[in-house]
Amino acid sequence: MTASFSEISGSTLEGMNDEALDSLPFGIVGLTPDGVTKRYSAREGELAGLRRETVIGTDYFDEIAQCMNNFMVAQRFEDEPEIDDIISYVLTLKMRPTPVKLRLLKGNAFSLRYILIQR
Amino acid sequence: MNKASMEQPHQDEYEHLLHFLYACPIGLIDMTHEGTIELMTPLASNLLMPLATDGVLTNLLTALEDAAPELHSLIDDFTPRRGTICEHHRIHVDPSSQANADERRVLSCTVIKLNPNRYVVALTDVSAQVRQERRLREAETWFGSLLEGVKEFGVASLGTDGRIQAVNSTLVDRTGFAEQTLTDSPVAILVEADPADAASKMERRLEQAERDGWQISEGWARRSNGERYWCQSLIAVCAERSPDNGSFTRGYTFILREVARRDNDMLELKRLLRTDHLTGAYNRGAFFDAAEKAFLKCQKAARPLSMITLDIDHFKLINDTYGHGVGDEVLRSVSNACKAAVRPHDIFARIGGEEFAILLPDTTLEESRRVAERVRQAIATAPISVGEAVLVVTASFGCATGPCLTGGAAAILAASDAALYEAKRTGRNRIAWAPARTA
Repeated sequence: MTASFSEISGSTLEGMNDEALDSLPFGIVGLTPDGVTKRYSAREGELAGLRRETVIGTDYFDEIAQCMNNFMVAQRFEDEPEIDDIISYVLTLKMRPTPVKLRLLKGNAFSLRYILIQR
Repeated sequence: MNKASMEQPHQDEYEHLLHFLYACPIGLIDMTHEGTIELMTPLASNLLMPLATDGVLTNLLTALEDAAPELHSLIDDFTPRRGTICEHHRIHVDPSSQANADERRVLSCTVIKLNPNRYVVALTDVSAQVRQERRLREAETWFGSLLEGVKEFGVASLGTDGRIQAVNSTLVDRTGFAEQTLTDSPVAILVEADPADAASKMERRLEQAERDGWQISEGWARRSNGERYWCQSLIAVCAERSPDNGSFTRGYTFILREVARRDNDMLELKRLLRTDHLTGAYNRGAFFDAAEKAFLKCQKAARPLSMITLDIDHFKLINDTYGHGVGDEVLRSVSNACKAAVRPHDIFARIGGEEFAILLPDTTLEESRRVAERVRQAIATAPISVGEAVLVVTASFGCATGPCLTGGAAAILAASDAALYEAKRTGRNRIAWAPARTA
């Protein structure tokens, strides 16, 4: 099983429990097709300054990450049937502009859409 | 109190604050004097990210360099220690070359200086509001012009497919297309001078009308004889309830009017085309255009139309004696004297080498003779310096009045020319006139 940022598959992520997710060295966010936050890893919580329990259930692109609510991220999840792409991006983690790599994952083999965040 | 219980409320408050800022519906930025972004809300990043072509969003002034280069100097020129630098300053994000005004994005930007190296910026997307304002302005223009001249509008009713169902007579007159040709044709043939993309352009316009109830645009069109003209056209959705079964018949109303192109280059070009380069008077072509129009107008209103032709006396002698430079100076001087002496609504033109003409709408022969006399005196009493010497030039005048003369504006001009010849023949520096005949 590969667990690197660029290799790990959506199916692998889907099979992991919270503890396993938290052990990964990059942030992970899992969203339902209508944008509700279902998975939120400890690493991502640390970067954003938020605990998992305050984020689960929120509308991710409206309440937590408006910076990704555009044609470069959110719209792609709507438009493209399958995605596995890494892009350079700037997030506003704790309101500080932070250059990151994002890996966007969407596929038929797993139910959630994943955003992997590497600083 | 132990340490853990102190920290827990603190952590909760901090997290609450972060949640508040993450969800904040305004782009807020904290930056230095140079534009380096210290803090920003996610919405600020959302609005700016498409502008950061290098994908790095560390400096606001760099990100807005193309869209709002003025921000730099606004900030630099602001000397007080603190205060509002700009409020709701509009930034057009997309280059103006991007054709469709309805898709352009506009940001509203407020910049507040807190101290010499700390600035707070608020950004909001006001594209929808700007679109709304533009449409209101267009509507105002239209409704204003509707009141001015209802007869000037061509009207067609269209089916849902954009094909013409019926037209009014003005539309037939203005476009030169026969009613049979227009019926069942796509409306695009009336407004698009370039048939290559006419269909798709019209499709977009109909879509927009469907969405907003109406759509206006301005552009080139072509008459049936191939002549190009500039026009405005309005497409409005109409829905009529059938009296029989209460069902809706949908379609569009299309309104077309020819307008002067509001384009400075065009106006300047037009002016150049109508003006005599040497004297600044109207040229021959412009004079005949104006004369034909004035003739029709006066004929319709049963009002007199007069013309005066004048010719500088012994101009050839002046030219031969003093040279063309002096000749030109004489033409300019005479022209200036005429322009100053005619009435504001008269049209003064140079129609030949040393021959000028004045068009006097709504003017009797008597009145035109008075104007000619005033002009004659103005010329004769305006000496022209030529080096040490002073030249006094005179001119001869012919007056004629229509439109009871048959043959249009040209006939009046011919009659005044004949009178001018008479004035020359009987001694120059005088006025002669064609007898006012009745038809």
